[in-house]
Amino acid sequence: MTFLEFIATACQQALAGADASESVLLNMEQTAESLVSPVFKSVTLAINADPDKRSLLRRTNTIVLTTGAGVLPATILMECLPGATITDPDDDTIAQDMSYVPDYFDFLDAAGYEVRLGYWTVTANPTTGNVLRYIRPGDTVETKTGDVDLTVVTVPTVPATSGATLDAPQEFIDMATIALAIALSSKIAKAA
Amino acid sequence: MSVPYHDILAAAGTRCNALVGAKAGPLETTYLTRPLTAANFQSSIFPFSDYIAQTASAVQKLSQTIADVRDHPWRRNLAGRTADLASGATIPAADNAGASIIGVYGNVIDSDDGQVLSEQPDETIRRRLLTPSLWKIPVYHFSLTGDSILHTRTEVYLEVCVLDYGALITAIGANDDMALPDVLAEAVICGTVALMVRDDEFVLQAGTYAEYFAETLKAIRGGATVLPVKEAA
Repeated sequence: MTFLEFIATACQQALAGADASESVLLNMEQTAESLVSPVFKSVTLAINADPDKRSLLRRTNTIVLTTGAGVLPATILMECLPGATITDPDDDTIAQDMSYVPDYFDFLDAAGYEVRLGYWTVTANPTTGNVLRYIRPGDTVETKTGDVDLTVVTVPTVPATSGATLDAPQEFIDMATIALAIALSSKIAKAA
Repeated sequence: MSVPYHDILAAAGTRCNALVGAKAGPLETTYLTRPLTAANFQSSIFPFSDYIAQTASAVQKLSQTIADVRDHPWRRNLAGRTADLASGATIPAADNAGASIIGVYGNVIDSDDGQVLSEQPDETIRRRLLTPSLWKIPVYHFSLTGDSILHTRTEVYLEVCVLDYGALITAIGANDDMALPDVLAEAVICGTVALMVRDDEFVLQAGTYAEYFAETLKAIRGGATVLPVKEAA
């Protein structure tokens, strides 16, 4: 399904039961598009909250580290990180030794507790995007320069053009379509 | 369209006793002569050219009335279109063939793909135009602001009604077919006769035909294509 078809489907569903002669309400593609990003995130969180569905959106994201720190794409949500796994292409034996530490100060402390384990955390950075921080097993500070792979429930990317195909499972598309239609319907109800 | 303008001139001329022919036979011959010329008119009050001019006036009045009704089906008889217009462009006074635009505007059409645009508030259009990189889904919106048009497409054109007075005079003189629907021939005759008045000549008759004509104009303003039957008051 293309992005244009996705928007058209949601708009049509939103109009179900509405007065079709209300022409102002019919022209809601621009409103629909403005709601896509929050709807995608909302549906992603709903999927993340359901263990049976998480695999639908689990994706591997390669993060480039410089001295143990690298920027995460905006499609990775903080709420989804507890279920993430991290692997190191330079050492495929350490994945099971890595621990996610949600709080940055705990992360700094944890590095000194047990050096046979590795730790990672994510800190917010409104300028560059959220930053992944990574301490390898055996290290007490961030040292790695290179790639790590973060496998985590990831928000599907909003297509770059109207004709581009949505890169997401059909189950996600169906949920997002309905969610967008409901979001639009509430606005129609207020305007009517 | 199959009503030649000289059929209207003959009918109007007959009502003002303007055609050559004092008796029925010669009058019938003149009535059927095509094309009519100034030699076929004997009136010392209204010359041949005046019949052409007043017929043009009646056609103008009917055309303007039709063009003022947004969805009237007879607008197609007056159809024109503007040149392609970028957002912010001034709406021209003439169509892309140079004829004067009359009445209210029709649809706004995307010049590239032919889609019809929907009218939206200025604020919606402005939000779109100020943030072009934000949007991926094409929308077809326009707003008319003063004498210009704002829209969200590359170029659009307006469907309009047009009337070119010079071309109309030429068409009537040349006995071309009437551009308006055939059913309006009677209204054009009434409109022409209504204008054939000078001092105290044909005053009563002109008033009667003016009423006929006004009834037709009123019906058209209401969107009708079935016209009222002529009935003297």
